[in-house]
Amino acid sequence: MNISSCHWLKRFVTTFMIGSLLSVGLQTAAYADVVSTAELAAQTQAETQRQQIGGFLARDDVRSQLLAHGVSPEAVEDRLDNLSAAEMQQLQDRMDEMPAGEGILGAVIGILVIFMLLDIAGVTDIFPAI
Amino acid sequence: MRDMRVATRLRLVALVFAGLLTACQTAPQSRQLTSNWPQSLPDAAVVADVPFFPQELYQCGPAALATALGASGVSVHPDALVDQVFVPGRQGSFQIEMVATGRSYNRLVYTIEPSLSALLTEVANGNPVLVLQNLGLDSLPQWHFAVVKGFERASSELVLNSGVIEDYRVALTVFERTWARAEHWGITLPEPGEIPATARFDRVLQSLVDLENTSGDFVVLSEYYRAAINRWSEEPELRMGYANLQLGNDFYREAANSYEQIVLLRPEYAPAHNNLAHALIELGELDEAAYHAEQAVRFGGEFKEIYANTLQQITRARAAQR
Repeated sequence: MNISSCHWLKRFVTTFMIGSLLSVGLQTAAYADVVSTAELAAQTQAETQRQQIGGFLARDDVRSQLLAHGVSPEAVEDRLDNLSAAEMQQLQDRMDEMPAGEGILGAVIGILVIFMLLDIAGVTDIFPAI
Repeated sequence: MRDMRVATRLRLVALVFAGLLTACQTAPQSRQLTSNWPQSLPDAAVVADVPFFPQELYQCGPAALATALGASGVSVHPDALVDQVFVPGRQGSFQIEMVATGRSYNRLVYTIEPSLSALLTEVANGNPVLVLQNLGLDSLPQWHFAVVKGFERASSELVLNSGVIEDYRVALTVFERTWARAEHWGITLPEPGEIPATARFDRVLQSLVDLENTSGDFVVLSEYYRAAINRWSEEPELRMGYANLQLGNDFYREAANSYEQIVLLRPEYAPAHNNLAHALIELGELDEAAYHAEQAVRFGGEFKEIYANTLQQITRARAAQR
């Protein structure tokens, strides 16, 4: 990456972060001294997960993980917007261990592979040509 | 070379053996259900009007989510969901993004209790459940999303829209094993104005908060809040959520009325006094506001700094008026 595109990226990220800060700021500034529903909800839950302040870092991290997994840059911001802070945190912490539902067609292919292996090993003979 | 063949064979034998062992595993919840069918459950139920979208390769996530959204009154094609839930590098979709995307279509997304009886109760009440299954083995997982929409006691079967099959009937025991390998995970997306039959109030409240923070349509949220308050009329937090929603959307008089109801119900519930004070500030009723801020300070509790700030704000505003 050359210097100018790096600079452009930095500016983009900074602008974006300032934008996000502002929108969060506006939401809370309107009623700074109201007890929010989120606070009450946290209070009612035994397994309270106090939301971490590292939100922006989590967002950056999850963004780059999703991009690395092939999610398109056009779609990624919308996807991040849809996540709650707790969900963001979970994705950041353990995206690589999370199951990703793919489905039955995948299963069929998986079973084919197993039987092909079994065939190759001489345990089964489903594909006589192998 | 020979050693390698032996090692490969041993591994395959181990895998098949593991598979057979899994098959021998009991399905405890199914067994309990069939031997002792709950009186609250009908003998059979199938939710009507559940759409069906045959999945394309690896895309059970978008197909299952479109199915659940369709049953909840949101008409959306799986193709429109691919960009929001599909992760190409994993050839699949994450549970978290299924939940988040369901919310982005203005629906409450509720994760049910991890039990077959909760699952069947939801279905019996007309709420299909989107489930995650591991169709393979723990050591060779095959993750899959499907929608459970019916069951039949006589045959001990469930009815699913799954993959490329509409009305797929599967034995309760087989389903339980595949579901248990995915930690019995399931979500349901009730229509606005409805709350899942098996829901817990604290988790509904959290789901509502999450919905409010992502899409936050006032009308839809109001309908969910009113249904939840109907179900759990004694819980002040749900009423607070509704009143806060009204306040946040500048319906000050309605919000004040809602907070007043909570104060009547629970005279010493400080958060309601505090927030009522803010609604009254907006309405220009500073004397009343001061009274309720004082009450909040008096009863105190976890948010007492907030109450002190509210009172200060009112004192300043009154001083400025004079």
